[in-house]
Amino acid sequence: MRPLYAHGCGFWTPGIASWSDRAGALRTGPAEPPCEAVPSRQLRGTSVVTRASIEALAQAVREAGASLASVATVFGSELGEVQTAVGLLAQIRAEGIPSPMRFKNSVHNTASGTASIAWENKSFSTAVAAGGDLVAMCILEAWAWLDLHGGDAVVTLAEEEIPAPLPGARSYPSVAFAFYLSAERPARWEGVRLEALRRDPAVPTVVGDHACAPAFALLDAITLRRAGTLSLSRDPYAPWCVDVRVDAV
Amino acid sequence: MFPAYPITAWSVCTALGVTTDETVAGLSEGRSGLRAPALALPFETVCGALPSALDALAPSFTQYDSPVARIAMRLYDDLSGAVERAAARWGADRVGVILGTSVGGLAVTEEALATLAATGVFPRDYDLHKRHSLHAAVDLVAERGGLRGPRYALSTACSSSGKVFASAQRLLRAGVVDAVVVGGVDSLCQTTLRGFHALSVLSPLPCRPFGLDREGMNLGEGGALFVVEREGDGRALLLGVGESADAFHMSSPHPDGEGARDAMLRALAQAGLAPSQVDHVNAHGTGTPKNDAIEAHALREVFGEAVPVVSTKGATGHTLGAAGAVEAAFALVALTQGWIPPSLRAAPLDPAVNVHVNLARRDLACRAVLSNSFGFGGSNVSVLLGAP
Repeated sequence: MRPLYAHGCGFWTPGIASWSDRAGALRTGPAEPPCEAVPSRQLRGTSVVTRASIEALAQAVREAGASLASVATVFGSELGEVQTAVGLLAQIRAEGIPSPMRFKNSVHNTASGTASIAWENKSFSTAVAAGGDLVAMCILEAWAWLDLHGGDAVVTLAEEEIPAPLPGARSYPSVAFAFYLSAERPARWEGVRLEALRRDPAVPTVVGDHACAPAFALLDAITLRRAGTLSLSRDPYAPWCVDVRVDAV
Repeated sequence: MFPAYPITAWSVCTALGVTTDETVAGLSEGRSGLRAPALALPFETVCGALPSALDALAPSFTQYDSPVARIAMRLYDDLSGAVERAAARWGADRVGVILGTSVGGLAVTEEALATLAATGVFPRDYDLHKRHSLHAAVDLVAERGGLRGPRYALSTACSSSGKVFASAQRLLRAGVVDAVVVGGVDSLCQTTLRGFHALSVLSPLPCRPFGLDREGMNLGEGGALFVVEREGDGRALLLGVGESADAFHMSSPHPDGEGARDAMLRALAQAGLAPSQVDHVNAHGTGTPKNDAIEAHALREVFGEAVPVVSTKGATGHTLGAAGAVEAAFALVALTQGWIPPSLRAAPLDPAVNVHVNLARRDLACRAVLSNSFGFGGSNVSVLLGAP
């Protein structure tokens, strides 16, 4: 597959507004995703994972100087709308029938649908779920699409705090990442390029319970322009990895 | 144009029968698998529940146990030989698994929370990641087949297991894999039955897609799996897949059927076929008044009124994230066996549905068959299969 060029990143977790441009420093922010790029009425009844995804996506698109109305999107999450699912079950137990709004926002592609509707974006969009290879599989899904169609795509990865009473509740915080990737090399390019997504047993896996954990290293590599081979996987057997190259003008 | 990739094996499991042969026989006989639900509900409906219990998972896989996992293993058993041949031919690292599901193992979490409420503790074997998660059935199929290529689930509501064909196509074309096990699985559960009731789209009676007096849909469960390979002796070919987004409403289709039309036209363009070369369409056809009318409008815009259109949801119920795969399997039956199924209970037809709805099983030699699936979030997909 052809190389991909990283044009922008987005990041949100409670208390942190964004990963500041190419400094690797955190800027403090609100406990809820601000999602200023979407009218509040369109966010009614949406979950943290949906709003966090949209916030990170909007940051990445803004940093790339691109349009929210036309970029292709791949949304990834291991457990997706798990807070909404638990809320629906509590409502069913209490009232018998769940709220229709909550139910229609319970699908794994809620962020995809909400973003598409808000920005009237009719481009390709999909929603992926995977376990230890979540980050790698979302990058792969976007990469294969870009390799065929060209243009740009944003990969958004998000996981919300597991709600009580489920096992593992609150064992990690909600977090979202977004990576704006392009299949086209700009005429005057300076930045990070991704190459050769593959499985390599020699590359150490990322340790951590959070499905998005490998995305921290990718965010770090892109924002700090660190070259090297990067694991995108928590799979201990044969992790997926990618080569990160840094191009200077 | 895309290369046409051969589908070298397939299996299907629905309310018509848990094995491929039983489901195909039921479809051919014009039977309906709709029946009263086993789940306790505070309203009337019927659903496409599987007609018999599925086998428990083998001891080495019990950590994945859930209704969708059992469906996935039932399906796998019908094509295990083909998966093993593909892995031997291409190498286990070169065979991927991509499944669509909307519900995943939610039924297990429903039971686990009920147990917690009753006893104060979760069932000992409850595992959120291996039983509830959307990707659990993918991991199970990959582990059962010893497959080590890319593996993930797509979950875009009711278009999920149609979109897996597009992902497989792209991975094949990019040279990432040489074969992919694709498909979809979903099971009935309280959340979806009560949730669709809350949206006022469930019918209390067996559904009547495209019928004049249709009142809504019935949910179902089941799935289908396929082996798509780079080359080989396929019983059918994956000719094209069209994906589109409505960008209109979370749970209602675009009123002009724009997204549905775009998906169909993109599938045709990818295959390099004219609409007149398509012999039959398996419609999304949920049975709700609005969805069927909009889809029919889009179908007429693309195909005119000659092509025979069927909704098989009157036989199986709407299997949600598995519907794309189940109905692609029925498209494959039409291609390989030379007949198309009836659209059950569609008569008398709604005069506003101005397409040719097929009312009885009919012999028809097909060279190309299209299957539509449209989901929440405005996610649309059309899968175009062809004869070799």
